[in-house]
Amino acid sequence: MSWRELPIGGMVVEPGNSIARRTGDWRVFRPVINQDVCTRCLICWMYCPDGVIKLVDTPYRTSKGRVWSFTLEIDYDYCKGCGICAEECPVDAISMVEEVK
Amino acid sequence: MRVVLNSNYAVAYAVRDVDVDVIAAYPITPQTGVVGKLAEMIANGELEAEMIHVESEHSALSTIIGASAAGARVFTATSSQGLEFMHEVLHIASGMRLPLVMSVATRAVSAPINIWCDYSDLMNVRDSSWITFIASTAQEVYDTIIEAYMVAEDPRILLPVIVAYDGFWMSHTYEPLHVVADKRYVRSLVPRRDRVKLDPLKPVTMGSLVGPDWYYEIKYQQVEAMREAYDIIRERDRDMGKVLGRRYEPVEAYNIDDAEIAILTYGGIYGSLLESVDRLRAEGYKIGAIRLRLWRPFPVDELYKVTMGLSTLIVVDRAISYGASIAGPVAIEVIASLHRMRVDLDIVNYVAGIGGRPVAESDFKGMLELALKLGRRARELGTLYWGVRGVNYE
Amino acid sequence: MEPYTGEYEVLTMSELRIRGVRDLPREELFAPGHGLCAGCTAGTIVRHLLKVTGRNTVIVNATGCVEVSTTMHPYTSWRVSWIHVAFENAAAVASGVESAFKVLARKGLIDMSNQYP
Repeated sequence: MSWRELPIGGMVVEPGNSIARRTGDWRVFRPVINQDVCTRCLICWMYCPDGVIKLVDTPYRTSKGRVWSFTLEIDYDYCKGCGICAEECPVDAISMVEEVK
Repeated sequence: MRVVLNSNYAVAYAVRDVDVDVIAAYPITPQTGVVGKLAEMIANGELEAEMIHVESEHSALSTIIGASAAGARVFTATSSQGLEFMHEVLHIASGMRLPLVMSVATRAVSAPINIWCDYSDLMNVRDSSWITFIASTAQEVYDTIIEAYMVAEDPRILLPVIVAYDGFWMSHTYEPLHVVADKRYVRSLVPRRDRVKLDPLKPVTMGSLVGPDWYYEIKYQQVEAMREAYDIIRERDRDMGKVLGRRYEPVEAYNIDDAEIAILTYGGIYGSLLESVDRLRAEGYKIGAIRLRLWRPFPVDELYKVTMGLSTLIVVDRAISYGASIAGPVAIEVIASLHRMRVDLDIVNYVAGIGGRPVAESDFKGMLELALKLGRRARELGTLYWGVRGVNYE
Repeated sequence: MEPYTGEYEVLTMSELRIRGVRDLPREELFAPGHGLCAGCTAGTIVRHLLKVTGRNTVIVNATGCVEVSTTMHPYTSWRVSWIHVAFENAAAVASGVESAFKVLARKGLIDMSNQYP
């Protein structure tokens, strides 16, 4: 790519294109959410520094019969395995599992 | 419309006429009149603009970078210490490719602190990738500010522009000049153009970190923009001639056709040089005068054309590049430029007018006579410092 | 921008009433893939900042970890307008941006109502 094709002054005109860098390969441990224990308090979603915990409108029925209208899912393409979600979860629904390649 | 203004006010009138949006104001002698006059114009409704009173020149330039990034037409003015204070931001402004315009009333740099005119401040910012014009009359200051906006905002260039003129000698001296009577006419010369800017509907990231893998290419874009600017400026000089009736050239010459010797200088002392050349011609010297108007990009072709028939060229500089083999910054460029074109003339460099010391017609005559007396030695000495007590070359 | 599966409303600052966690907007204006250290809460802070300010935001960032890690050329994590100039002049640049919008709107050169609702 020559100097002619770059936007001038080093401007980046595509917002949010850092999604091309899949930082998921940084991690050693991966967080796994136990959907049965999760109370959908949204603390993990708030604290994630990368915004990889997604609030999806998938309903979930726990083993005890409680029905949630949404679920929290982790995007493993970008999760760096920092463990903040596991640390902050008030009901210990998230466990850090060693990444097996 | 014919008016009597000093160069500071001429800048203000031109800035008013092009309809700027944001002005950052910080005072420094000898440019304070520019921002003072602009404040007066905003207060009485002649100019619709936001004036931001900043706390330093560093902020002055930073503020107009932000405003220009948001799409506004901007302006600020400074001199010497102010220009030095904003030095890091000068490079950022050109690196971000923003069409800023700044007027510089040249003044000597400290230490010792000196408020009078020399070009050491302007020469110091030579490598900052700002297109630089050096004006010699208040009329030229007015015209060049308008041209500066035309050049800076050209989508093929998008580099910031400095318009420089002598501090005190020009900034505070009143001259008669023509200003355009109908502002709308000036505004039609500098139409509003679309460019990439900070817009919530089209988010862009400006000023990101660039590593060794892409920095060079981005800087090369600036090199090419400067190169294109050279051609575009010559076009604009011609256009200005057609629309305003006053035409300028990147290098102007007087009485050069049959000249064997010429004196090249820049800024306000060119007026004295013209007087001097007339008197020397009457005495029988075949001498001409050359004025450098465009400093960056350096006008290699025009310089070559005007120096073609000469045997000796005397370059009178008003700044010192300490420790250089030839201390006059313009002399260095002239020599390099003619060397590229394989022209070998005798070039004698004088440094004069430092710290506001006047350079009169008699000084030019003295410089010529000394150069002729020294002959070959003048070239070997490198730079001759004119008018220093205790320095004698004979 | 990644597609969002549910429906949501983008609220302006005046309409934003955050009484609890459930009221936080779901839109992520800060994309993952940035180079901040794993676990650096600077990322959390930026995410929350943008949830409150919304899309009609211009971020003026001083030189620092956030600036360098989130905009490593040619990638950027910002989904809003962003400008970085130098180390200590973020406030000055922000003054300039603000004045520019004010005067351009006054002159009718930009339409301030033509933003995200």
